Order: sequence, then C-alpha cells, then structure tokens
Amino acid sequence: MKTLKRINAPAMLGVFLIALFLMAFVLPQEKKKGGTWNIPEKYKTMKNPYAGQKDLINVGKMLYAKNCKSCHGTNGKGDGPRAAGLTTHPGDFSNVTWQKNNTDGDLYYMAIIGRDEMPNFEKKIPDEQDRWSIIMYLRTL
Amino acid sequence: MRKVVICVILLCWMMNLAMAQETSKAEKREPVRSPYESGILLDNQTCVIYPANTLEFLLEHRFGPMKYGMEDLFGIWAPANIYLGLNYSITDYLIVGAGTAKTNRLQDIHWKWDILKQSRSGSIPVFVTYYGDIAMDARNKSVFGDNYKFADRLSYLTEIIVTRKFYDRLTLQVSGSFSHINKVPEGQDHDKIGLSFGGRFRVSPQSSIIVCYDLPINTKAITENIPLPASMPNFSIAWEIATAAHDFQIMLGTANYLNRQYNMIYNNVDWTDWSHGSPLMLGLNLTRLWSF
Repeated sequence: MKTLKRINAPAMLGVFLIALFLMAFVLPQEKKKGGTWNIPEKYKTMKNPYAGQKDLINVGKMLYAKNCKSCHGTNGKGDGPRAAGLTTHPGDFSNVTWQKNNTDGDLYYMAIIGRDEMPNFEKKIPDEQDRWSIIMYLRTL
Repeated sequence: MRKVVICVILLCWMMNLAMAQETSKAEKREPVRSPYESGILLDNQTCVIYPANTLEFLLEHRFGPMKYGMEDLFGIWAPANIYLGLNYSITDYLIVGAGTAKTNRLQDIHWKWDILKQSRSGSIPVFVTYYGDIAMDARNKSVFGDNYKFADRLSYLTEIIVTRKFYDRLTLQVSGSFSHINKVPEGQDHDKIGLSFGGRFRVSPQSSIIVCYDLPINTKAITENIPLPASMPNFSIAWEIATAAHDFQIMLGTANYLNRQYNMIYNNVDWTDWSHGSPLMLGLNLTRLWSF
C-alpha cells in the first residue's frame, strides 16, 4: 500500500502565499459607488456660457491636473494615487453612459459644489470661467 | 524721499480704486491665471495673492552647504535653518503674515499688496506688487553690545516687484528693494539697495523650474564704509510641484538667511566660487492652503 508523503510545510506556505497573491486579482476590487447625486434644478439646467471656446479646454486640463488628478487619475478613470484612500469610487469620467446621462450643469455641481468625499471647490477655484473650463475638459475624457 | 514713496503708494492706490470702479461698469478685467503657483519664489516673493480668506502655512528649510560631500551627506546632516510662517489673504489684493526663523531668532511680520494685476485682455500688461517686511532679532540683548535699545533688534525691507506672465509656461519678474538693519557689526552697512530677478518655466501642468537671483547693489553712494563691505548675490533654482492646496519647491541656493533684508545685507556666499567645493545648499519650501 502506498503511503502519503509527508507534507512539506514551507512548500505549503509558499503555495498558500502564491494563492493569496493570485486571489488579489480575482476578488472584487471595486469600491462602493457613491449614491445618486441629488442635484438642485438650478444647476441641472445651467448652460455653459463658454461653450465653443475650445482654447479653454487646455485651461481646464491644467486645472484638472492640479486639482482633480490626484483622485480621479490622469484619464479620469478614478484611479489616481489618492483614490485608494477613499471610501467611495471617484467615478469614471470616460464612461460613455456617464457622459451622456449628465448635463453640463450636473457636472458643474458635482465638480464645484461636491458632497461627502468630493470636496467643495468654490473657494479654491473662484473664477467662473475656470470652473467651466474644467467641465469642458471633462467632456473630452 | 519718504514723501515721494508715500505719494507713489497713494497714487497707485487711487489708480487701483479707479480701475475697480471702471471694472464694474465696463468689461471685467480678469487677472491672468496663476502666474506662479505660490506666494514665494525660493528666497523672494511672487505677485501671487490668494483669494480672500485663504490661510497659508509656510515652511522653509535650508540644509548646510554641500561642499563637505559625504562627510555630512551634502549638508543634510549639517546645522540647518528653518522658517515657519502663516499668511492670511484679507482681500484678493492684500495678504499679511508673520513667521519665525531659527538663525538670529528672527521674528517677522510682512504684507504684500498687488497694486496692479496683469489682465487677461492685456489692458494691464504686468503685475505690480509691493512687499514689506519688519523683522525683530529675538536673541539675548547681550548680543547687541553696549547702550542696548529695543530698536537695535529691528530691520526693514520694502520692495516693488514687477511681474509679467508671457504665456502659459513662462513668467518673469524683476524687483527693486531697499533693506535696512538698525544695528550691524562695525564696518557693515546699515542700508542696501537690491535688484532681484526671477521666473518660472512650467514643464507640465503641475511641475515647473523656478529661479531667483538677488543682486545687492554695492554702491559707494550709500555706503558708510570704505572699503566697501560687499554682500554677495544669491542664486537659487528649484523644481516646483503644485497641487490644489500644496506647493513644494525642492531647491539649491546660496542664501544664508530666511529673511530678505538679512540676505541683501549679510549674504557672504559666492555662488560662483567652486574652489572649495559647491557653495550651494539644499533646501525646501512647502506651503499648505486652507480656504475659509
């Protein structure tokens, strides 16, 4: 009768650690999504007064890099270095449905007024044209 | 001289008021966006005044000279100088602040006023900024010798800075200053006129290269001493990284003091003299902003 080989403890530990490492790619990594935004009507219907001024997209890009990139990531996918410390996912601006379902006014409210982990930027970005520049840049992501 | 300075300041103030009134009637003269990312440019000031009710915490740190190499890890283990300060924007045009420095235990109050702000439309081509500083040497009074008076501790700086943002990447400035220290060692001048140059080249939306050069004018016209006690120009250069609420300047420079008037009068490091190793020292400027 064949006998089972003795279990090699270091090898088992190694297998366990490798399995643990691989599980990191399998287990859901998604953060909790923030609930639906409750956006006041006056913001929903806001129109971008600078629409068509394409030169402002570059201004928005600069402001995005300084104010938003650390959480929202270079391409707006919500994968910035500070996103890991947040409770909720910062959202994916490159998502076509997200772009389609939100008006410019919605974006303005979310980006400038904020809520919970999304800070208010009214004082940090006091200039109205700068604020809309960021919205215009978000539309390009 | 004092009357002339007061007249110039009053004139600029009235121009400012007139422009503010005009602004409300005619097109809005929006100032150009972020000529710099911070209120300080290495050892100098910039034209930046944050929006009203913004509090800035400022930390400046200078390590020792790098010339001893690995012996003190290029000055990092050497005795250092440090400055901690707070600045508060009262309006979009005026900021006041105070701070304390380790070397000479300098306690200072300062203020900065944007007399003119360069407009996006080009109707105002430059920023014109006035900066003032009063510092108090808080060391033991025995340092000041005989006949000690409180005024011996005081020193002053007044400076006019002209800045232009040429395009998104490039901003340059030039400034003229007058420094005065009430009590100086024998053979040293009390007063110094200085010229300063500086600028920023933005490399990416968050990163820039910034430089600053302070040139004390060692002129016989205002010296009290022959031979002339020369103070040395200061050169500094840094990599700047800015975020929404922080600014980091990682720098190399030659300024001994973390105070403008002391650098203008006392700086004795020659940044061109490399015969005994690097005259430069490593340093950091960090700022943190809070909006109220």
